[in-house]
Amino acid sequence: MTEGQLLSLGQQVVSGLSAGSIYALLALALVLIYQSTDVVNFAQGEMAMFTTFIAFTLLTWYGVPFVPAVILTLVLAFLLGYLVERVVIRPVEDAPVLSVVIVTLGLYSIFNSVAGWVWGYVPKGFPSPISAGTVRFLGLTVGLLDLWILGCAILIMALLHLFLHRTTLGTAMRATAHNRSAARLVGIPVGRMLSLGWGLSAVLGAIAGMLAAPKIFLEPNMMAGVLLYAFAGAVLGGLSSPSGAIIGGLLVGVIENLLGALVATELKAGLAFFMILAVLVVRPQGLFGTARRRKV
Amino acid sequence: MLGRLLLGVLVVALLVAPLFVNQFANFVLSRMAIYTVVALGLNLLTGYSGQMSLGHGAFFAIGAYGTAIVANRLGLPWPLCILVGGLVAGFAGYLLGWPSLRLSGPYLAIATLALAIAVPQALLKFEGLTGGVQGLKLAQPRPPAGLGLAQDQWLAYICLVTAILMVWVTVNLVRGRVGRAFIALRDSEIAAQAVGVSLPRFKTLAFAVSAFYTGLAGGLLAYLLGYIAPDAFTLVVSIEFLTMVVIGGLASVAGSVIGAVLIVILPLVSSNLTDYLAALLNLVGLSAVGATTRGLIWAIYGVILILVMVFLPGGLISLYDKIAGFWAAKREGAVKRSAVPSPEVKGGG
Amino acid sequence: MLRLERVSAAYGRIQALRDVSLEVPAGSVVALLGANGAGKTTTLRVISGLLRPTAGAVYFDGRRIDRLPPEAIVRLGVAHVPEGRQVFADLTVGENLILGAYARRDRRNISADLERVFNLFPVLRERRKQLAGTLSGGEQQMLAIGRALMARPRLLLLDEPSLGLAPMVVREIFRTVRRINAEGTTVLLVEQDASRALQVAQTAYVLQTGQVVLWGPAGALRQNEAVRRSYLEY
Repeated sequence: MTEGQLLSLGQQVVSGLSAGSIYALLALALVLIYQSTDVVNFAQGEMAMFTTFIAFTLLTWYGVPFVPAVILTLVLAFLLGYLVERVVIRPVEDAPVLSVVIVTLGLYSIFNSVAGWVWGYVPKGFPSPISAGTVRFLGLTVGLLDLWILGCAILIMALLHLFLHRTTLGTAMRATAHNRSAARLVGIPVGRMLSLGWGLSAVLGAIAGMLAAPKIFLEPNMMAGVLLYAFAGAVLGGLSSPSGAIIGGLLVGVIENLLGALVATELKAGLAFFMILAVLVVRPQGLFGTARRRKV
Repeated sequence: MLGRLLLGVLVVALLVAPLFVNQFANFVLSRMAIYTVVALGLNLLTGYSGQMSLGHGAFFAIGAYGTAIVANRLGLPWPLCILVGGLVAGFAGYLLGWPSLRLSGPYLAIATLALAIAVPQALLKFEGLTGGVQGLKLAQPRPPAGLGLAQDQWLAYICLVTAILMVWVTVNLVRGRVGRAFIALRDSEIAAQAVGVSLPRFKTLAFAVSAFYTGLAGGLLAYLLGYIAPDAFTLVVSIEFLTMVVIGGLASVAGSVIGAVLIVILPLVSSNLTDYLAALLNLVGLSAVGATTRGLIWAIYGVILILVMVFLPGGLISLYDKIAGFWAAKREGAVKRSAVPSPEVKGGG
Repeated sequence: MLRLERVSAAYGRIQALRDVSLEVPAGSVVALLGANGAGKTTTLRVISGLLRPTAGAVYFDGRRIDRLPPEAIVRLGVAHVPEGRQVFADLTVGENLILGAYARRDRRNISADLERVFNLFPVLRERRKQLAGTLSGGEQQMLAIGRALMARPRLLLLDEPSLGLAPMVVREIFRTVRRINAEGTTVLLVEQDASRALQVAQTAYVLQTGQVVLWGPAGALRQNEAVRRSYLEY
């Protein structure tokens, strides 16, 4: 490979990591919910899109400055996730898995449709604190926006890790996810923990949406593709492992970008998924997931 | 006995209906029949065998395109073309069955998702075979001379008869050895293996049969529309399929039919509901808002889905089960409990 | 301290408890005996609020608790060590213990109580940073008991502490139960190992298919023919 090719490859990897960190954030949200409530939330992307639109409204229609708008959006996202769990998911928590899948699909329709109804389908620009520009890093020309996305994502994941592992509340949430009946016995209010989990996931989704919007433009269907890749990343990493979700998301981002550049843009989604399928056949629990030992 | 009579009446009514309703109604009936065949197939996999699939849109596409390509290039009679479509899809399903041996739950869902995404993209890419974005046209079956049927009526008959036939096939399949093996698989793979159900054989069989049904339905769709294009086989279609078997009721033939009918009707119902909503808003003076309510069709759709799942997690067929169970319980009467005194043991042995 | 009055409970349509009445006086150790499926675990689950009774009432310190959620019951001073230990396998020993105190309002005494648990079970102090799932059966049982103690319970519900453990470990655990009782905690002990349970308890109840068929002082039950035949000789 020539130096030029190597550099171009490096660039693809970096922009793949940037896209991948958005997938990783959403994958993390998916895994958090899956671990605590055994639900795959197909509406995660739409909730993220919806909350990003709320941020957009605050920023452009009400002229709220950037930082307060973001904070307010995150608070609203948390409330949204909390309420969705409490009002829509809780009534079906004992239902068969597929029924809950349908419920999340229903949520998908609702959020998508309402967003289109309120804000329309014309793609909108989303303001970003970082302007488009490039910087030279290790001989590579890297987009500032990409670096910003990567940096924010890493920061958020670090904060999440601290929360889950160093605070009592976070530890209680982890406990509830792993062993609900024992958590109940110890006096942890399980219902509240589950709602908290959904609230937290919604916040992660909102962040993912706000990071992605400047690049892929804000419109009701913007997160559909992102969700698919996030799902793929989560499964690749292993649904029982938050760190797996992160690595899976990053990997999917890189693979998708490389495939698009090296092979064919039209086929990259299908190929990416087939690659993941290949990994799963060899390692059915995902790269970092724990193999579920079957009890007879 | 009453059940059988009602069933017979229903079948006769279905067979007579196309003669009396208009073109659009026949089109809707045909689509319901097509979706019923898909629902039966998917339910065999998901309801009876317990394997999740988000990729049945792919089999639908394979069946449709298989039929169209064979019809256009080989000029075979239409029943044969549809059968070929089904068989090709069935083979694809068989292939998908192999990874399913290693994967479960959400992991299997992702694998099937891979298919659902890859196939439409492949359809666009391999233009020579599939006509790419333009799609393929094919000649619709002409009504036989002398019967005096219109085109839409003839197509409706083809679809309805196929659907009724597949219902009959499925009922027998489920009651037989194969059906019992599927159910054993769903309830406990380990126990099933312990009694001699070969996991590889039956899991791949479940996928193959399920895909065959769906491919057949795809062939029907190709003839119904006279034209197919990749955008009729997106991921949304796969999700529609899964939704209909869950809403109708898993592991239930009647549930499959109900689900199929519902999923075809639901967008129409939602559309009407948004019209009512618009009319209501007009009354209150919010006509400007009312004018835009059409965009909320999918929101209403979503609300209906959620309400059905919250109140009937077992699908609509469970409503029937509940009513039947209610009557049975009334007949049994209340169970009396007797109070037993607790004997005491005094000290001393 | 604890009183069950004609409690009935069911899992769906399956009747698990029928008209069960029992009393646990403050400061004592009461044993609940019976074969598998007799309803012993169900009784504990009703007390700790995991299962709502279909009839009857549960009183703790004169206060009715059978309609309260589990977290409220823990806060009132009832801790339940479940069958099979049920430790949080993916959390460390330390994290497990801290969570035991989750429902408590008095945060400042928690470290003192942690010390107390480590003194009772020194092996837990050694394995403080280890993942609970990597502990041996006996160590997990100690962790489960320690975790329950972190809630500063006045009543400790112990479900089959000897299950799956080697005799020496079981002896150690029962010794600790005696010690916990001596320090003022009332204990309701569910056990299949009837002879050991009768050695440490003052009173015992025998359950059979969800009903109390026999009860009285432990000494008397040990002599009782029916009990000896069914539960003490195997």
